[in-house]
Amino acid sequence: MWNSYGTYALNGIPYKPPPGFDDLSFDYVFNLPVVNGVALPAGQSVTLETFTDQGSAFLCYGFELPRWSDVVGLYGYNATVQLYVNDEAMSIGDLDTASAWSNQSSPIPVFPVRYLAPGTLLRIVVTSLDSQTDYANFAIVLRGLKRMQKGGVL
Amino acid sequence: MTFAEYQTPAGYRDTPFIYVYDPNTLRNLFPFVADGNDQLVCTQPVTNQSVRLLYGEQFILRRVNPSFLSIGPQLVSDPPGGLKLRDALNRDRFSDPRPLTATSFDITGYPMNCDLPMAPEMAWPVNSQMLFSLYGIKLRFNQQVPATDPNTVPLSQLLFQGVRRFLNPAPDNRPLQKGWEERYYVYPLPITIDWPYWQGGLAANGQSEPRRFYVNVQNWDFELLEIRSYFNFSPVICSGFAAPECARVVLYDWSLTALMNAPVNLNAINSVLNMSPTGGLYAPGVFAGSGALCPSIIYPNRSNIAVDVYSMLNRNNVASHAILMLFIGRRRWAT
Repeated sequence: MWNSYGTYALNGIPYKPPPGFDDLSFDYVFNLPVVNGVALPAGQSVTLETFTDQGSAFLCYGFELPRWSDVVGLYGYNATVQLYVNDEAMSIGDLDTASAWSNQSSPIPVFPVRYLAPGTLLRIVVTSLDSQTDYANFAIVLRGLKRMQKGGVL
Repeated sequence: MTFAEYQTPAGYRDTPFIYVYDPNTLRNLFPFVADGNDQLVCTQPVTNQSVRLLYGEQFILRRVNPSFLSIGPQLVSDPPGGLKLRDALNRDRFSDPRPLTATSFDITGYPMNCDLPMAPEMAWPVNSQMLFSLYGIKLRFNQQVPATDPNTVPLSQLLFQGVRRFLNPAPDNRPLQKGWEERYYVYPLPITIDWPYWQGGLAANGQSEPRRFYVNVQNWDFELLEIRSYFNFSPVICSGFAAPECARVVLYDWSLTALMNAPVNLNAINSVLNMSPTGGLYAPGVFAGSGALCPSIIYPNRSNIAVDVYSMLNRNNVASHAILMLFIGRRRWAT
């Protein structure tokens, strides 16, 4: 028998944030558009930067690397992805094309959970190792939660 | 993090519940084009959609499940797209639209359902509504006829699976009492579908009425944990799908209160363990909608496990199709 009370992807866990804080599920999504039907060619890199929310910490527990094909929908791609947190490298290298790792139901786990302070500079460098071009876009999704001090939060 | 038993706060009663958003209604409002694959693609972003909660109870969202529905950039020339979900205070929960897919493939190449878990869960207060925008939609159909044929059967649904939280516990929701033990038990419910989605197979006649099937709980209280549905792949139900859909259901609790606000694709409430690469005459419904039945549902002795069954067969494949629904759980025995 399966665990009748918990479900498979973190739900069902009686989740309790630290005293004085509320947690909200949140995803940082980076979409890399394909320009004029040309995807990121193999061997080339693109760098994305953003600051996380100034008002809350971000705890990252998962990572998705989907690309979208108009034929099969979401699936994975070969790439070297490096995540820099305030210029400190957190390397996740040479990911596989396994589709099961690149959709919304099964993110690559980040364990232990990575804590990003409010206003952290996130820099993602994607180097494509994939020569296929039949995709509509790449995306990089950091799954996690925002941790806020209590007050007016559901 | 550790696994632990699901616990309802004191003074409340939880039931599993699914809110259904039907994207097919958008066909009257937005332009759709056939993609050459018997599917329809929306050519405009669909913003500011909502699903309003039923009156009187909180809702706690645990999963977003695009059933036979793709949300994202559908063509290479499309801008990035996906789902944007906002909470009850109208805050974005994704920094950018995130693409969602209905299916993916496990490591053996077998299709599996893809839903989006929300962790931690998202809570909506009484009488609020779930707000979201959809950038890039592809609708799927029972592919025995072209998607543009009005008599085809629309399959796509956007499902919000979660927990409906009632104030005041009902007497049946008691935890296991001292002196009792639980034993594994299965109630099978055979169903035969031999009628089409549209009356007479034609949309002009309107949708067929559902038919109710039920199994009587006997001798002891029953705690329902899991549903597995096996159905007949032959004759073909929907070409082009590894896991066809032949029915939608509405599941009821012991008091005949519906556990979903509209009929839900049967595959979306199947157990995640209901996957097997065996195929054959009877094969498991391979799309798994895990978590649809959490928390469990208790059916007291002599109550009924009832489902309303809606056919999803089109006029070209109304030959009799058998479904075997297994209600798997535990009986509560006095020791």
